Order: sequence, then C-alpha cells, then structure tokens
Amino acid sequence: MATDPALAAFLALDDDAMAAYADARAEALGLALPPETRAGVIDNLALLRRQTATFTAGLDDTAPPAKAFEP
Amino acid sequence: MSAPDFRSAQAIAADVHSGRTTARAETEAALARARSDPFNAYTAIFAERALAQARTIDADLVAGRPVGPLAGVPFAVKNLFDVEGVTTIAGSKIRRDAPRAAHDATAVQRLTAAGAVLIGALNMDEFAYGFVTENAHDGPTRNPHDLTRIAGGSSGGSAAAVSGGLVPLTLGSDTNGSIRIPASLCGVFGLKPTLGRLSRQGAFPFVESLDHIGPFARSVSDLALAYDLMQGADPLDPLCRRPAEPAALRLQAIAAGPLRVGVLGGWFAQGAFPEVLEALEIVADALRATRGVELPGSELARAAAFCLTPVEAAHLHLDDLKARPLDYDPAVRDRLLAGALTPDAVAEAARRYRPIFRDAARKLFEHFDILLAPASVCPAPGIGQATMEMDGQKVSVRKNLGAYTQPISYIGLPVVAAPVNRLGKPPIGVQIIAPAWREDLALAAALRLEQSGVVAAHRPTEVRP
Repeated sequence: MATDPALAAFLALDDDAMAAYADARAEALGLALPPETRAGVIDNLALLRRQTATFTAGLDDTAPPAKAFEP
Repeated sequence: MSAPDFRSAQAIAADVHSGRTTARAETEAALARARSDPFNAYTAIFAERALAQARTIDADLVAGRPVGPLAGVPFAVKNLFDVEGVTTIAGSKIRRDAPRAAHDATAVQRLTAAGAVLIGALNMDEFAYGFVTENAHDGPTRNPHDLTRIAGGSSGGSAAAVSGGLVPLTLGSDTNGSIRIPASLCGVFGLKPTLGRLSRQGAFPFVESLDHIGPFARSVSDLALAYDLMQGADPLDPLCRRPAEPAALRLQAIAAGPLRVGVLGGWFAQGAFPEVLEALEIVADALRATRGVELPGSELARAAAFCLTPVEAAHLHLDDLKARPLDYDPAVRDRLLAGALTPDAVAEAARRYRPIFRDAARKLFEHFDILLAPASVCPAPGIGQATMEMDGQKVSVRKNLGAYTQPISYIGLPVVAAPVNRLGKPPIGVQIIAPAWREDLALAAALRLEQSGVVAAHRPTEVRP
C-alpha cells in the first residue's frame, strides 16, 4: 500500500493518462521532451508504473525507511 | 586479425618471469591483436603507455628487481574506467569532450601495480545502461562465437576481448547483470563480487547504490587471482571498507569439501529457453543440487531494481537530459528521460524493499552454501534483434535479458558466471551465487565444476556450424 502521495498518484495512473502525466512532470522539471523521444518515454513510463505496482505489492507500512544498505 | 592467444594470464606471467618471453613481446602481440580486433571490442588502444610499462617490467627482471604476479600480462578495461590522461567516455558521445582523467581508477592501479599491462579500453552500452553492447556511437560488439550475434552487455567489449583471445583478462562493471550476461553469452568466466568488495573509485557511475566492478577471464584461477589483487579497502569509495580476504589459495580446499547447493526455481525458471534450463541441469547434476528452491520475492526484487535504475541514474544525467537529450543513444535516452519523470518516491520504495528481499536470501543461505540460476534467459540473440519470445510472449531483448541477474545484484550478492561446457553449441552460463562476502564459495564451486569438465571457456573456433 502506497502512503506517499506522489507514489500513490503515480500508481493510480492508467496508460491513457501517461502522456499528460509526462508532459506535466517534464514542465515541472524544466525538461523539454523532443518529439522523437515522446513515444519511447511514455512507453517506458508505463512500464515503470507497472513494475512499481509489482514490487510495492510486497511493501507495507511496517517496511522501515531506506537507510544505507548492507548486502 | 593477428593470431588469438588463449593462454591464461598466469601462464603468460610465468613465461615472462622465466625469460621464455618478455613483457615487451607480449605487449606488442596484444597491441597487434587490438589493432586488428574483429569483434569491435576495443574503442581505444594505449600503445605508448603499454610499451613504456613493458619496458620497465623487462628492465626490472633483468636487474633482478621484484615484479608483480601479473608481470607482462596484457589486460583491458571497459571504457568507463578512468585511465590517466584519457577521457572516460563511458560509451557515450556526451563525454567525448570531458576532461581527461587525472588518475587511473583504483582497480586499474591495483592490476597495474601487480604488473598487468593495460592495452586499451573496451566497448559497452552507453553509460552501462543495457545488456546488448549495440552502442549507437561505437557500433555493436560482435560475439566471438558467432559474429552475427551480440556479445551481451553492458560489458560486451570486456567479455568479447577475453572470449576471442585478444587478452586473457579484462574488467567490467555490473549494476543489473552487466558482467554476468556478457560472460554467459560469450562463454567466459565473470565475477560480480559482493557490493562494496571492490573499489568503484574511478569507474563512471551508473546507479551508485547498485554498481559493482569485477573481472573476466578464461579460467577460475585467473579470475580469482585478479579478484584478489584488486581487493582491499579504498577511502575513495565509501562502500569499499573491507580489508582484503584473499581467496585464490583457499579455493582448492573449499572445492574438495562439502557444498550444499540449491537450484533457484520460480522466477528463475520462468521464460528460460529450453537449452538454458538443460545447461543449468548439467551443473545442478554435477553439484548434486536440490531442485526447485524458492527465493521469495524474486519477481518483486527484479521489478524494484528495474525501477530504481532509471530513477537514480536520471539524477546523474538531469543536466545533460535537459541540455542535449538527442546526443544520447536513443535506447538509453528514452529510459533515462522516463526515469527523470518518475517520482523519487518510486526509488525510495525500491530501496525499502531491498532489506526485505536480502533477509529472505539470508534465510535461504541458512540451508545452502551456493544457489544456482541461469545467467541469461537465452543464448546470444542476433545483432539488431529487438524482441524475443519468453513463455510464448514477444518481449524486448534489451529489457529482459537481465531478468535472472537483476534480483541478485539488487541485494549485492557475489556471483560467478560460469560457461557450461557444451562444446559446439552457443555459450550459455550459469550464476553461481554465494552469501554476501563469500566470493570464495562461489569461486570454489566454479573451480570444482571446471576441474570436472562441467564448465569451460571454449575457444570460439571450437563452435561448429
């Protein structure tokens, strides 16, 4: 369960909403998306959202905040 | 091409020590092979530096001064390692006008101090983001076993140079599988040590929380020696704090003792090509391994690593992504841009899952010394091949070759990628995975397999049509 608002909002996107999300994020970051990159970026964002949904299914509020990782 | 040389690093060093050859002769031969490289493995050749070092080694030998255990052994490094006086391009166009490196990377320093002679720098996926080494700026590296196929990546030049007999020893880096995948596809040995074991100082970063460096070689003995020579704390890499724990001289005793071995199932068996699973079975039989061992959360760990990678990497590249996005390799650019647009909370969540999955692996290692898994989903795909079939579904080659390597590097475990002895067939490697800081166990298992003929680095000419 995602309690972080940005994470929750990202997870709530569907693929049809990804283009608008990409444009809004790019503008907020001052990042211009050249036309030849747009389709690839949106595809990759959609894939990242699906993968995020996969691994956050194994996280809950008891998972401690990340700190320096020891193997 | 100049005739390939398949002698081991230690055989060359012994010949130099004994006076049967000279460092200069070995260096000139390696430089000639580099200049006529048929695999597009090299992107730069350091003739002046190499010959100067060779002259010094020969003079030391003549004068009776001590030389290192790799005296006169040619080696080469992925072009993300700093080499003094050379611009570190990291496979990119963007860094070609960056300032030259002031010093060698720590790993290069340590091998050079041991007498190894740096011949050149090697091709890679841009900024180490990929599994194919089809670099948009430098061209594809070709697999020495079949020039129409990829060498794997991102350390493709490093694997091809060793596989094709250009040098006996190279260095690469591994963030999600970039040593293990090319080692597997080119039929050589590769070691991805525990996260933090070998210094990454002077290696251009990709994802700092996941980056490792390590060696490629054609034998376990060479692999272990190179690994030992690069060990030791480095104040310039905050993760590299551990004193050296040399392994090479202990391997034979460990290999002769009992090893509890499990074969990872579940995620690690899904989608693999039949020949990959057959190769894994050969190794599992030889080690009398328990089959179908479940590492809980592997699919989630792979997904977490998949997401952490572009988000963290994009932070490093944000200025260039804003200023000159079209100078990136398109295959890398779109993923980095997507990472930049993804909220940081995704990376933070991916970091939170890490200790959960690590603890699951630790629990499994209470019952096993070694875990086995395929290194790659398939043998080497063709150059330019965009998709492949996994479980009947068409998927991207670039995004799926590392399906079995990503969960393991996500938690920093040491792995030897070992080529299964399948004479006449395309190379396939297995991952020999050990608990954190127990590279000795993975190397010893690889040594036992090598001595029994189950794994071997074949010469490319041994492939039959």
